[in-house]
Amino acid sequence: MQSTGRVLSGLVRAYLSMLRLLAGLSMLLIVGIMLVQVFFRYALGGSLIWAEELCRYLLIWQTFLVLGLTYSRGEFVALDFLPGALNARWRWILRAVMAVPILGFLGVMAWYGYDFASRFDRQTIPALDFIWTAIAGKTLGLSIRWVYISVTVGLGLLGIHVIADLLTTFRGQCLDNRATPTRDAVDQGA
Amino acid sequence: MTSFFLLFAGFLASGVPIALALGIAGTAYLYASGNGMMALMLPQRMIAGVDQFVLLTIPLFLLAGALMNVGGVTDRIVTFARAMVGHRRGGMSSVSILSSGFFAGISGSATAEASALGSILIPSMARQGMPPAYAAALIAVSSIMGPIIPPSITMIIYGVLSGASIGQLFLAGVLPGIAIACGLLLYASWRARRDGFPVTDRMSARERLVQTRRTLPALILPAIILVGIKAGIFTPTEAAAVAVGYALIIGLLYRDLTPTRIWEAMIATALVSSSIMFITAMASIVSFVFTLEQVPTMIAEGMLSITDNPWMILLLLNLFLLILGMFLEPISILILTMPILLKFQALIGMDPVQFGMVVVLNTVIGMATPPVGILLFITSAISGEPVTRVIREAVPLIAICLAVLALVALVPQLSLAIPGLMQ
Repeated sequence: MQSTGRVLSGLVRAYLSMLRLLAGLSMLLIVGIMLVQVFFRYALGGSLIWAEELCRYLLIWQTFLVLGLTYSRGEFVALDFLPGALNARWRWILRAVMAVPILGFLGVMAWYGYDFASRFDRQTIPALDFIWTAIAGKTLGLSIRWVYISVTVGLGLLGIHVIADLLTTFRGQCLDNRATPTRDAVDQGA
Repeated sequence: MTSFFLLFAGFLASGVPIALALGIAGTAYLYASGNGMMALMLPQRMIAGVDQFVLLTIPLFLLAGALMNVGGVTDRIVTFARAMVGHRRGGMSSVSILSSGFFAGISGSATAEASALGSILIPSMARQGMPPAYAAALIAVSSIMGPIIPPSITMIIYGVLSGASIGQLFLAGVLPGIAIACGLLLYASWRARRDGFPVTDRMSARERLVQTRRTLPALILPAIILVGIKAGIFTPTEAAAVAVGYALIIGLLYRDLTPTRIWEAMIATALVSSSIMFITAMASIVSFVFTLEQVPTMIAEGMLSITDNPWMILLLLNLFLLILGMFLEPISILILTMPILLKFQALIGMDPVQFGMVVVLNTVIGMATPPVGILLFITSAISGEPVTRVIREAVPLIAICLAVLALVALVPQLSLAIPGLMQ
């Protein structure tokens, strides 16, 4: 039992550090590509035709991929009028009730997002084809579906974070009614 | 439509994050109005809301601000402002307002400004004997200058959505930004005299010169961005990338930037940017639903049925935006209301740049007004004071910003003089 817990927390840590790595990497790539683009245009007089497209796709992935982490760190702007007026147990219950429409919405959007992405199976990403042709002499043929699937992945992860936050705060907040209504762990991340 | 707002307000009050409350209420409204199968199109709207080249300015300008902050520029700006006005009446409160003005020239985001400056200045104002709630209110309201003085993420979004020139909008923000700073400075020095706030030691002329030289590289950035965009040298997105490059260079020159700090700033920026872009994506859903249900036309007709006097329409429009601003942040307001806004701009016959300035100022002031005043939340959290006390201190400061808003709406020269000069 304890070892399962250890494996689980190890997995969570690995997932979080990977997410941080990808967040930083996407930012680094966006900055790098844009600076190289500016340099090419003004110093060398030629423009990188793939730069803009690639950066847009990086931004889409960055936006959706880290949503879950952003949510858990309390960086989503929210009001706490009603939650602030409740004690810890009722605040947890309110959050659990509110999680129902949230999860329903995220589920439907993740599903429709998958459906939407799969319609673009045949359309390839021109920017990557262009780069790959320059490197390997043939087109990469990576479908643009792999950009659009970010909605499904991101909203799915966000849903998992919503559930995980409820579960991890269950013991501390729902069972312990004596706790004074302080701001919870999620808020402190902000 | 009423059902949409009730649902949205209900979710919001229950602690559901704004972005999700927008998305859920929008989708529910779509189903309730019998267009449920249209929900299939929502993921595409989400992607379309994010998939715009110019939106890359959001993470890039945020990163430039974050790098300046960890690179020691914020400290230098504060020391510089202290060298200029610390010894005058108002002491650290005037220093805070001036620092906000300078910081606004680096940062295009009010929230970044409130958290960066607040964490330095609120404790130091409190140490000087000012009430922490007043210090928090001052930083919250001064941060409004962030998106008014160029560069400005909000103005970029306005420019993209409306077609107005971003370079012109940037220039238009200079005088209104200075007007806000002057108004706040006057209030701060009156308040300092009334409550007997202390001043800091006067620095020698030599020391001031040293401080100016130390801070100069940071103060040049807005000029580079403005001239670059205005002269057509770079696009706004490229200007944002150049700002990041510049922040890296001066951070390395100052020797305050380490690879670890740069990397951490990149991760933090990606997360903050993601939360903003998610609001953009969710607002795009609601905007799609509104257009489908012809809500903009309904609101426009509703307003026109009250009056057709251009001045009254302008007043109503301002009230409408201020009320929206109490619940939503600027980017989602712009996405949601742009169809209505453009209709009214044509109707009033106001210059697109001046009109943009009025709209942006309106939505940004909303960031410092309750109940959803993100700037008040940030600074109250830093100061440890309850939000309600910060709000009470913020009321006269917000009144000053509203007076500037009225001036901008009534006096075209305030926004158009500088863009006119540069033409």
